[in-house]
Amino acid sequence: MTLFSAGVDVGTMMVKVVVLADGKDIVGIRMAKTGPDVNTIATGLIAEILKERGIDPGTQLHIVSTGAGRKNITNVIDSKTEFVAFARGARAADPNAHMVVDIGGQGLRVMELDDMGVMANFATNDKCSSGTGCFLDAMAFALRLQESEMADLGLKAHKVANIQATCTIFAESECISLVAKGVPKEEILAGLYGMVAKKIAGMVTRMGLKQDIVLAGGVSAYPGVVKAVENELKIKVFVPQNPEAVGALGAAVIAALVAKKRAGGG
Amino acid sequence: MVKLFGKGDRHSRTESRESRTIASLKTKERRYMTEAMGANAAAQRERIISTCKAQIERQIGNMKALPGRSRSMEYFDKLADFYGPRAGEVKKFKETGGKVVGTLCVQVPAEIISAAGAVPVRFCQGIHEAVHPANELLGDAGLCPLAKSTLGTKMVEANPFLEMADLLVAPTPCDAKLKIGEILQDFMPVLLVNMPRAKVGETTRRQWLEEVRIIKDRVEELTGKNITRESLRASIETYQRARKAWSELSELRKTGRPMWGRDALLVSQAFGYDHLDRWTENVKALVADLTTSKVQVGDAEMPRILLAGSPIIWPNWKIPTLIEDSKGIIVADELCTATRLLYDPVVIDEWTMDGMMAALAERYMYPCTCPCFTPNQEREETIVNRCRDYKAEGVVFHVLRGCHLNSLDATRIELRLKKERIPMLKIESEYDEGDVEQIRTRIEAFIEMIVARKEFLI
Repeated sequence: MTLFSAGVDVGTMMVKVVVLADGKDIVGIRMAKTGPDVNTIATGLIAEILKERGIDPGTQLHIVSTGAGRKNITNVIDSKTEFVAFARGARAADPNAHMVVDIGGQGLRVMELDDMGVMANFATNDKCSSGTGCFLDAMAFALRLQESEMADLGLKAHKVANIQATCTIFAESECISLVAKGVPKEEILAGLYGMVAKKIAGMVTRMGLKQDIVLAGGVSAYPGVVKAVENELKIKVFVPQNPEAVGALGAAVIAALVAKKRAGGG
Repeated sequence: MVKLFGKGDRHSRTESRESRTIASLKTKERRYMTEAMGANAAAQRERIISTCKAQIERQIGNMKALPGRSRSMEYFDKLADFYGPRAGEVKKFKETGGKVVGTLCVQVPAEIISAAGAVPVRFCQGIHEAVHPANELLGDAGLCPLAKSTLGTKMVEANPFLEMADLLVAPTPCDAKLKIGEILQDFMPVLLVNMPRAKVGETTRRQWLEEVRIIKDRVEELTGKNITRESLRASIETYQRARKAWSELSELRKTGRPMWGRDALLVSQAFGYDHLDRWTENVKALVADLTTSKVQVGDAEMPRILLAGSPIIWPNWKIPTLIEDSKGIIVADELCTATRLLYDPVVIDEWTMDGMMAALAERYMYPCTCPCFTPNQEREETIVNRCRDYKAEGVVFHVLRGCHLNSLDATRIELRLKKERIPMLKIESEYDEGDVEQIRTRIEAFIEMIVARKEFLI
């Protein structure tokens, strides 16, 4: 009998759901904006996936929640921190993963994995949002850019503007003054991506670079950011197809493991 | 009002010393406090006391609800109230002419204070609300919350123990303590102790011994009692008994889980202002109780944590509570408010006055692992050895924001622990509760990581 498991990652910006069959085959991935009632959002996303694949909605599903709002999800068999979930998800996405960088909405996390795929170390930003999704959102607003333009406009730059501030507020005013000076937006954007990359490289280097590195989290969907990180670390990084869902994937893998362990009397 | 020392003050050994200590107390005008300051003092005092009392009640309530807790902890619960019976006792002692001496850091040899017949009390504060008066005075000076809370509490007279202190002995380990000591001279007599910070060389040894002698002179002068060979010996032996009791309690935590780490920390906090013989008796009673009951708190899967870093001062129980709420158990610490204060006994070769003074100076500086010192490899050695002795599986290194020395030392310690394959989590935080959830996530991830590495599962 197929064992179905789901990972629910309640991030500060998005709720991500991954449903797995037998802990490895992806049944479906869905996401929605985080709202006040994340439980209903998550249940709705799971139901959509099951309906789309013609699976009986009454099928037993083992759920593990993760992310900042993990404790608001009911009917779970366990809940894990996003660190552990991203580590597990990265290994599922890339069997050679030894490091994973999660660039999320408000968090910047670096996790190291040992050969067994177990998280061996982690680091994160403190209270500061520098280099995260909401940092880039603030810059997009300052540059009057749409999210779709943010994704690859930075790639088109011939030169990279020098952004020195790391604080969200100061970087915003730096952007505005660069715009006023007539610096093209793509160059400013390339500069911002470079700044994010430097911040990530600092965390990765401090922990000790190990390959493969998986880039995850919503911001990793921007090719400009990926390129900047590769330039900074001077290596290739692996970006899964749905980088923002890596945490949910990890949680779904953990759910299957926990379910199997419990069924086995462990 | 500024309390001044009379003209009868005994002169210092050297002129430079006089200008550093007594002369500064004679400064008539307040350097920091203006007339405008303190307009809200009464309201602030009330708010600080009520929030502090509520915090104490909440934390004690949490700890009382912990399963498997020994009844002998009740004694320490009562002591945890700054406004409770112990404050009344010290007040009575003062009414009969007794003197109280505050100590601003762990390097002050309390034996000397007790030997002169005075009661030593720890001055450092852990009350969040009290940072506000200090912020009003200093703005954002980048000070750690401990320094701000201590200053703020004294500014608005919110803690009876601080108010009862006739003298503050303030070593100068870090910038914050140096300047807090200076500012507090606007409020009370302060003896700034010029503590050397390089733990090497004969000049350091000589200077520190001289400084310890100055402390002796000043407390003798305060109480009007000369410290004799007998009184100093009796005092040293009292502290030796206290430290022995603590090490017996710690011994129980080496392999088992006889008590929650929060409870052990509460016991050590009481050392800062309790009647010492009675404290020792109660620690012994706790040890006896735990030995007979053989109780084990929590469960065997809980990762054993060593808590290190910046001071954890009651009632700022944020980090220990988060660790133990996240299914970890604190089995040991490397904190100046607990084991650093209570671990190393004073070792006396010769029970002469010089022998005892030299031994005290030695005890309070060389084994002290405060990050203000360099070289300080004792610190990582202590942490590594203690992890081994107490079977700790991870180190939570807590840094109070603004405590630069601990933040700097964290790197050296983390690198050393990496070699030993002991994971370390550095947490930077203040006294307020605003970051509880972010820190909870990181501590949970740390605990999950240790568990997963044991189980090879997740």
